[in-house]
Amino acid sequence: MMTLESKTATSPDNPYAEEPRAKATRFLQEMKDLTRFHADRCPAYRRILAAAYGGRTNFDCLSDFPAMPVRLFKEMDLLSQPSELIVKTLTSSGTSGQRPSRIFLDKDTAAAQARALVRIVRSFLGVKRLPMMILDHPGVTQDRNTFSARGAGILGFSQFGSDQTFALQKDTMLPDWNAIDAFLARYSGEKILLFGFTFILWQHLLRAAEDCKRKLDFGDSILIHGGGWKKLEEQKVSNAEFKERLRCTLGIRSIYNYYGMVEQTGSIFMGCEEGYFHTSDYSEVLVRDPRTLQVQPQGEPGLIECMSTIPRSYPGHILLTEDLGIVGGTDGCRCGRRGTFFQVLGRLPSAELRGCSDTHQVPS
Amino acid sequence: MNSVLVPGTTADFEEQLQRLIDIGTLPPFDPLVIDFIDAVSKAVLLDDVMRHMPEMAAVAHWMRKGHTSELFAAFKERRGGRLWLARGIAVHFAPSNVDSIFLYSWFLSMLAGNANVVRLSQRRGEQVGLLLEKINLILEQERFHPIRRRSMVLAYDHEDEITEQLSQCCHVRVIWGGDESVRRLRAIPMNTLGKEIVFANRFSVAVISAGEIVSRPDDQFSRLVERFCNDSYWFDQMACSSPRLVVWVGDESTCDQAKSLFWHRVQKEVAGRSLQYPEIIGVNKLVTAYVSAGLGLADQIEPSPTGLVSRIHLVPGADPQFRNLECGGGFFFETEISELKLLPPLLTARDQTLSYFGFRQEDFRELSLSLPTRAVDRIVPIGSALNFGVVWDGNDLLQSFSREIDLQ
Repeated sequence: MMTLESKTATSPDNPYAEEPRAKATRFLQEMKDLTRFHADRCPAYRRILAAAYGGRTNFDCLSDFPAMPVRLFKEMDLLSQPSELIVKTLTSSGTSGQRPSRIFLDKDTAAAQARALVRIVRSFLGVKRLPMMILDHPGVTQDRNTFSARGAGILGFSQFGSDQTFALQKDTMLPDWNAIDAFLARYSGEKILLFGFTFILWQHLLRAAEDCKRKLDFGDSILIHGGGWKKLEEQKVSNAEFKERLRCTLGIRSIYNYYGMVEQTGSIFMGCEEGYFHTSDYSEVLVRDPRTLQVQPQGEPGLIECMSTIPRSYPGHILLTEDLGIVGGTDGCRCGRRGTFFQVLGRLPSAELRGCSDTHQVPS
Repeated sequence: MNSVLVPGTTADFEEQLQRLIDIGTLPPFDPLVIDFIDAVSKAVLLDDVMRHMPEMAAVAHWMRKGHTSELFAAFKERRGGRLWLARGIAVHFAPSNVDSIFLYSWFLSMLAGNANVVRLSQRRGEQVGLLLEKINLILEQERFHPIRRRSMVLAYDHEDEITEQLSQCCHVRVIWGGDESVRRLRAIPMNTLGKEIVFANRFSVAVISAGEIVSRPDDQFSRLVERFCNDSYWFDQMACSSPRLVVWVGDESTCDQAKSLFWHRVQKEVAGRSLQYPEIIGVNKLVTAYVSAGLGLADQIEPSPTGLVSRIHLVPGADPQFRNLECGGGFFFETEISELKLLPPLLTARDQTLSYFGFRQEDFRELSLSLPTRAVDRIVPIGSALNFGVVWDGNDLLQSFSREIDLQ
């Protein structure tokens, strides 16, 4: 069995600078190594490759590599390390009625996730730790062995701040106005970091403030948020409207969205000033036709496939998501960052074929 | 929310239910009932939309006077000199996928003479609304008023009080819709004089003689493929009698040859049917296929897990739990045996319909004696898997809807 070393880090501070051909070559090799690595160590993954790819693990083109559908991690436990080496289990929130995803991390994978996150986020925030307000409640990070995606995100991002203060009250999820006011008074005139999940921020802070007609001024702040647009989409809220209301009610002007998933924690896709998500040294993205799984031409929408160089303890380095997206291009984004840039259009609408076995399901 | 869909009057639910309870039953196969069911058949056949739906056309055919009279003849033959009467009030909980099931359940019970309350799913298909309109129109004719007073079709959300009330007043409770529904509804007590007929989750299997496939002339082969596709795709492979496992019988090379011929034609047939599922269905199939392989149940997935025909080859001696992996939409498990008599060990109590090609009815008579406990309720030629029969899941429904008076 081989050991793997990441060959990343061409530019220590900037994960968006690698020369495109060099990245393509390096990334292809990393995917080859990882596919072999997981096929050697994860029996379930090996069986899937045997059944669907005749056991092949070596491919010459990124788009030919086997992608695991993300929902597979909800249906079964997939490990590429002995379970005694697992130090952390991440779980996804999981839509109602579904089992959540379970992602098993060993020490190395957890550390690699943290390193990737640091390089990616620092390239946006700089190295100085900023006073940080977490737009959530303290209960989400309490159990340190099993983490929800939300808890893991908060803990991951907490390293970029100091004096981490929660904006919501535990249990009630109501804004903790006293804590917020005190925090703003403490750092008046200083640059601050805000972090939260899109829907929580929308529902429990922005809407809550609007409802009681409170206006805040977070001043010289930078907001990073992620975790999906689905619920906002259902409420017909566009990104532009969201930003405008954040500016108007909370005085937040600098806003960065990111796209990521618990199955590939660390190698997140940060949204740039031009409105595109970017792949970094750690990641690549493809878009596939949902029916044929063929790679779509640039500009055509399809299912997003995410690749990450990080996962070692579970075979999640190439994932087919159920999100629809469009690739805008590679290396040409006006924000100046290299890499593939893309947009996320939302979730593939869910549907089930009706069975004999569902007389009593409530219509959704 | 509770709505009374039939009869289409404004009288309230309680009042109608009480009237239905008070009025009692009709004699078995009352000519009026036969006429009414025939009238519904005609209404379906005269409707431009409904008569083109294969499912509705099949029901219409079943409802013709010609056919119900045959049912009566068979009923009389089974009854012989015994005295069979209606049980009383029957309550039917219909499934949401196969929209025609409620009609079969309701009308068979009506033929037995019962007064009926049918609870429909809120998720029913559009054609059900159309059909109920027709039925209401027919029930408005004065001569059918005796039937109208004995019939109610309801739709309501999860309201256990209504289910309780219906269960307390009924003498037969019929639960379609699989394990979940059976468990849910069984928790609700019913009339101590009541009898219960339940339809649990089932699984179905097709068995094909590879040698027969290879040697058949083209036209016969085409017909087989067409029938197999009807069985499989009419209800998106989600009907409990649609095949989900295909067992090939023959030596290895004949099986390989037969499979390649057969599936190639199935692909073509399905492509010609302008069938298209929502995109997520392909993803569901991909997930289910990978779970099958990941769990060590399957060793080959081809040709495409997201397409309309996905073949999942079982590992030898696969754990029967592969039956729980269901997603429909053309997802076929596959395996081979060298001769038919090796089939029974592959089957389980959950298996309902065994549809066959290349064998004779006689071949199964002896085979049935070696079936595992409770396994298989129907053995029918491929193409008949979806045909509803009076005998279903091992019950003669007409007989179950009746009671016998011991007359000495």
